[in-house]
Amino acid sequence: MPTRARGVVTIASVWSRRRGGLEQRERRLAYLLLAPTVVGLVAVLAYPTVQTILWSFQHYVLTDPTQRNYTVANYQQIWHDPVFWAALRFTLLYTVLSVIGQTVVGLGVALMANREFRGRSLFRAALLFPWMMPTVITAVVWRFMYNPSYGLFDGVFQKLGLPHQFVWLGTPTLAIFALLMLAVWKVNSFAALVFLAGLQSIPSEVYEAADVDGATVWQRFYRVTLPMLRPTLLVVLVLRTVEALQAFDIIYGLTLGGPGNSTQNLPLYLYDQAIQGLNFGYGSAMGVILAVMIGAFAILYLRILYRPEAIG
Amino acid sequence: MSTITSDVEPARGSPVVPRRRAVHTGARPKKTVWYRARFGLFNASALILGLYALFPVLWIFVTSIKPQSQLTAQPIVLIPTSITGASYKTAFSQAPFGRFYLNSLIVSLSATVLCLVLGSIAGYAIARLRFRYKKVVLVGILAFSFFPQITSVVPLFSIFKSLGLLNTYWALIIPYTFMTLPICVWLMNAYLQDLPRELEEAGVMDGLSRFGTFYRIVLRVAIPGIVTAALIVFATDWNEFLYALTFMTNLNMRTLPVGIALYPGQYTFPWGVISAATVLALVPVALAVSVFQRRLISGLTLGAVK
Repeated sequence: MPTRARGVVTIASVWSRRRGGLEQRERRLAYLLLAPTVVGLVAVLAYPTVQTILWSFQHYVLTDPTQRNYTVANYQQIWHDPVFWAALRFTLLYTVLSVIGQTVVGLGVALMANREFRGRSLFRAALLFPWMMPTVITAVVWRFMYNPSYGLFDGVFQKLGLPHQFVWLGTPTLAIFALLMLAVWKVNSFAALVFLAGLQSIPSEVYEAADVDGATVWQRFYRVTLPMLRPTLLVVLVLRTVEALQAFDIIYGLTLGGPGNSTQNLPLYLYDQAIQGLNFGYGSAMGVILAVMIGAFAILYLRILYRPEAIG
Repeated sequence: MSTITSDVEPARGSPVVPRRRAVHTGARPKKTVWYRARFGLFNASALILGLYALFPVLWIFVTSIKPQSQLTAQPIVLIPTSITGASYKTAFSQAPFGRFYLNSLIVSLSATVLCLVLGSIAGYAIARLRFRYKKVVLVGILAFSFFPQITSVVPLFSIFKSLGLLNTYWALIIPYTFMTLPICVWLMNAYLQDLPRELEEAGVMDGLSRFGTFYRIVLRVAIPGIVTAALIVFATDWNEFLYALTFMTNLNMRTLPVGIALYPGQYTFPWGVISAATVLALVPVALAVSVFQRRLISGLTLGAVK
């Protein structure tokens, strides 16, 4: 057998009855196997996105059967819509603050868990919990805990003799703070688990060398851990940002955008306009704006992935 | 490097369990007071962080078994003096939580199976077959996971409406399958790449067809990877809210997250019942976390880091 002569038995060479067109057959099989996935993804994810772009340039209100001509009216209306600008501002505020909070707390937890101690696996299981819980249910649970008269937070404040009976979700500032507390709690553990994987891939020799050089704890963190963790940090930041820009469940369950519109972000406003108000055109225009913002970060992420040498 | 490690090892304080990996606590020559204090502090903060991660779950569990009189008592009752299963009974008798549970199970399980079938086939093609632009295809598929749900929800609503699929399980099974497919392909590709090719070659030598090798060998050896992908996909489907809220307008078709979030009474919430339903909704999550902790972590971090 020729394969024996070469010393290597490739799967393809045994499978193929004819020697000619081997690579072509393998390629054809690959495309065949990939076809359902690609077709489905295009139909269920790409096609609706194209639809959204088209609708954003149409006057398309479900309850108003007038002619749907192409127009930029939706975008003009957005430009003059103070609620949109408030929603955009809150989206950015929420994104920046929650991502910073999640990353900082997550990094702290990861540094803490990156050692061997009794109950370490229990600790890591505890970390998985917030991340695995259904977001909207978590938010509902926190709404219960924020209740000003019988919520957990109020009760604990009272037992500790601290000022209490805050109407946590009743004033804009407190509601935003309450939402951020929830967002940090929900996601920091995911960041922590990813950081933990990153920390464990740092070779111990580097730390030993730093010890030999007499580095302080702070120097070790700042000069060794942080630079070595940079790729992981970047990935976490980008992924969390993409996620925070489209936060829906968490706000829906906790405040529904209130009080007033103070915690209403773009996805919530979009949902309100398109699904509740049946103004598909206007909602779609907001969707396009949101998708552009998310797309910018997604491209950043995919570029990091595309160059494997950028990942530690 | 082994000499350095063995130098450090005996000096390490005994309460810290001997390690497999490098730990950077800084070696102390003796169990000084400072060392003991630091160790105590470390354990205390680990405990506090663990509690921080778990307190809402603990609180909701306590609430679910509280008798009615202690639910809204002021000051709050942290540890109930008596326990009852009344809230659980109400959750099933007065609200259709049993139905919500069933809906969630049907939709999530079907979508998970579909996603795994498509994902393992596509992942196998990328990991094992030779074709051009492989990397482009892989990153292209992954790019689909960035299509924001909120921009596709309106067109999908319109499509499902015209197809008469609203308030049917298909309205969720279809989008769930493809929503999680990119990450599933990504995970399956990563796992299949790491499998030794020799196993498949052995199968071929034994006269198995290409499909036979895939079905009888590749899938069997890849079971750990498949379980990991299945857990992550299932959890994503089980927790999904936006599509379920929009496509299931009929009360009896609601999934668990929607059923709990839209439970009637925004202001006078029946917290005991809600808590009981929440605890039940968390059962699959708790099971997955306690049994498959390591696999979940490896899958989650693989999805995010690699």
